[in-house]
Amino acid sequence: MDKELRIGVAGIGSAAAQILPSFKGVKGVALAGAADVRADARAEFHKAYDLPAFDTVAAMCRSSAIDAVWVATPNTTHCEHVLAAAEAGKHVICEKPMAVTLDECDRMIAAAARAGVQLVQGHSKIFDAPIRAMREVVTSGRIGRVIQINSWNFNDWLQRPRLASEVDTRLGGGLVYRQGPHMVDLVRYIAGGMATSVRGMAGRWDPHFDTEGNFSALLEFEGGVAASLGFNGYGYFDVTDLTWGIGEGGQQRPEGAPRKLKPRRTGPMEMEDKYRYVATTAQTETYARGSRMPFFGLTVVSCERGAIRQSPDGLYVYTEAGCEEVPVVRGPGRAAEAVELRDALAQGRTVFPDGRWGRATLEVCLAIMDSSRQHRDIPLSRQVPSA
Amino acid sequence: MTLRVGIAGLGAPSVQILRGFAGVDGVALAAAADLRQEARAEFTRTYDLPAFDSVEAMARSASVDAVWVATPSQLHCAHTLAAAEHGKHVICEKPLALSLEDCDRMIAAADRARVQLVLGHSKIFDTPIRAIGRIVAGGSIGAVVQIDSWLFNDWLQRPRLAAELDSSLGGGVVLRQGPHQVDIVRHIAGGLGRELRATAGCWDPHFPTEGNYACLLEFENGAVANFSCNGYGYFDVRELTWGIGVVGRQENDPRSARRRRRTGPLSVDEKYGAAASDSPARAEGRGTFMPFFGLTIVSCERGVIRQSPTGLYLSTEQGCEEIAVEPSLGQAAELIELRDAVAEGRPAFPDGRWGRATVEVCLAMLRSAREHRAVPLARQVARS
Repeated sequence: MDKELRIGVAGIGSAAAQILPSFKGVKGVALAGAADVRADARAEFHKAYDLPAFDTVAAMCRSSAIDAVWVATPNTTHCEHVLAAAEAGKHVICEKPMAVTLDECDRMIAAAARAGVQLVQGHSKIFDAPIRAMREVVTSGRIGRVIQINSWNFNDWLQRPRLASEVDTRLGGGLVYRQGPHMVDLVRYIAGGMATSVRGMAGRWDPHFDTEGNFSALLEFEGGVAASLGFNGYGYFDVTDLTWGIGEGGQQRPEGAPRKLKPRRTGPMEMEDKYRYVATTAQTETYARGSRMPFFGLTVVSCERGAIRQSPDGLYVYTEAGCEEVPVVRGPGRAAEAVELRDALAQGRTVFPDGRWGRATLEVCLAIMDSSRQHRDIPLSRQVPSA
Repeated sequence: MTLRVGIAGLGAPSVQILRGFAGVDGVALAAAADLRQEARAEFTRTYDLPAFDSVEAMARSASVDAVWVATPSQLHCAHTLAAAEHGKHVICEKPLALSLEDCDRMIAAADRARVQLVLGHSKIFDTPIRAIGRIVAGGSIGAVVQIDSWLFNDWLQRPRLAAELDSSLGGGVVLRQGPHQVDIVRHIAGGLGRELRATAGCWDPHFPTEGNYACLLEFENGAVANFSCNGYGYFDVRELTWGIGVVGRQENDPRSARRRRRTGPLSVDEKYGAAASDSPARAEGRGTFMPFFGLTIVSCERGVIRQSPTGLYLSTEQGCEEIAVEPSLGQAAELIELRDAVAEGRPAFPDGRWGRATVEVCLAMLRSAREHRAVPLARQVARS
């Protein structure tokens, strides 16, 4: 494909704040427009990029100046917007979680297949270079098969500025819907994808937010492989204390520097307040790209003849010969999805992770919540393998 | 009156046990029993005390008031019964036994003889675990909601006898390391497990026993413990705990520690002989830091607790506070608990019922892993 892939971003919220600047300098990909219901967000976008801003996603989808739509709207509208894009013949990148229900995922996948367009699962930790590198060590076979994956995350997800919808589980809010896909994506990817059952417990312990703020899950995979997941998003302890102070974007807290103490939040924010915050501090604090590898918590991958975990700049691979540090080349950050779409189109192959992958991850997240409510194992039936 | 204690079994556990007697008032080492003649001779030479060739003979002795059962796991029941039937108090190493029926018989025998039955070698005796339990029970940061605990060590690569690597004889990490981790999470969560789901793997080609497990344990009070172990010896959890391990010693660089891979079990001679590089006599003494049995993070409604090198970190909305904890006593703690319980005329804690409940969890883990399903628990008891 010699033509540039022109991408329109649906939703100029906090996800877009990471996505919009990421295209700069990426060959073969161009930002071409955006859509948002908020007039001031559109004006701001237009001023910053000198590109058209649409007041509906449907209108942007109709535009002939757009080849692909990046759906970064609230979770409850992912389905509607993916359908609109696919029906207009646009490729789609959809933020995690794919949708709120598996039914919606089915419709999104069917619509993309019908239209012959690509559907990329966006904002997946599979795009993080160290996660890819761990999977490469596993598939190389040098330390045997994966036998167990342990993944922990402790962060302040529930204490970040939140709209009411982000902390309403019925609308795809809460820790399991919002952070679960990241952790589930990375363990499924490393383990090969084919989980068979889930046992989970999710808690709602913050008196001000009636949504999940913590979860534990035990995933079983084919062949007796297990993944043990633990997540606490109440903001008391931060897992970066166990990862050299390095966080999600690869930014490192100076050694010995304590984390900033903030007053506890007592409820969701109004939209104006949230986006003012997003425009100023949020990005620098949580997602700012640092110079080290991105760490989404702490993950230890146990294999038959060794173990793997992230080091500040790559991986530690433990074998009987000792511990070897393997450097990892930084990925394209939030541009990774666009790069994957560009390459898949150029090579005439299906993207990865795609809609089926995203649906499988959502199935696991829903199973964690179902298992917690019903106190039973939840068998899985919609899983797909890692590409 | 001094409580005179005889040690049954002069194997690996006895090293820390024997060290525990020094400096504990009201308790005295009085005898030992072992099948191995050299071990008995060495004991008598070192302590100038009688060494018996059978636990039964030691249990009959009038110069012993209590027996510390530190024999292989499959013999715990027989030796506890022998001691109780001769009216001796018992401290029994974990796991209490290998079946709930054996645990029942041990508890019944101790009740019948009106002697104490203490669960020995429990991590509940570690002072930081007790301190976490106190904070949780005190309620200052609300109820415990989730406990995450990781153990990555070289359990399977340490010198092992064949029995230690045979799950049917109580070998493998589920039955040998599981009781420690289960004791820790049960103690912190209050004790009453409700149901669990677990997986376990036997992946070392040379040792056909469990070398890893993962378990999700739900409690009656709504808390959940999510704990796991990998004992194959590649990654060492001390990398995450300032290099500090189970006896409070600090390793400067656990990442660079190298050990040769073993390809099979050792004979008794190879494990305990004078030439054995890992002989008990060379085992490490206690360090100056808190004991760390892996890394445990305790999430409560309004805060999080984990161990620091010399105490605890308590993270709340006020920030992170370090709380000093009194030094751990090692295995003197069991002796003190037995002595005090006898003197005060109260049941010891942790006792046989606690130990049985922990065995129930470990056996349920094996069953859950085998049958790929959740297993309910029925014999749980609360933390006292």
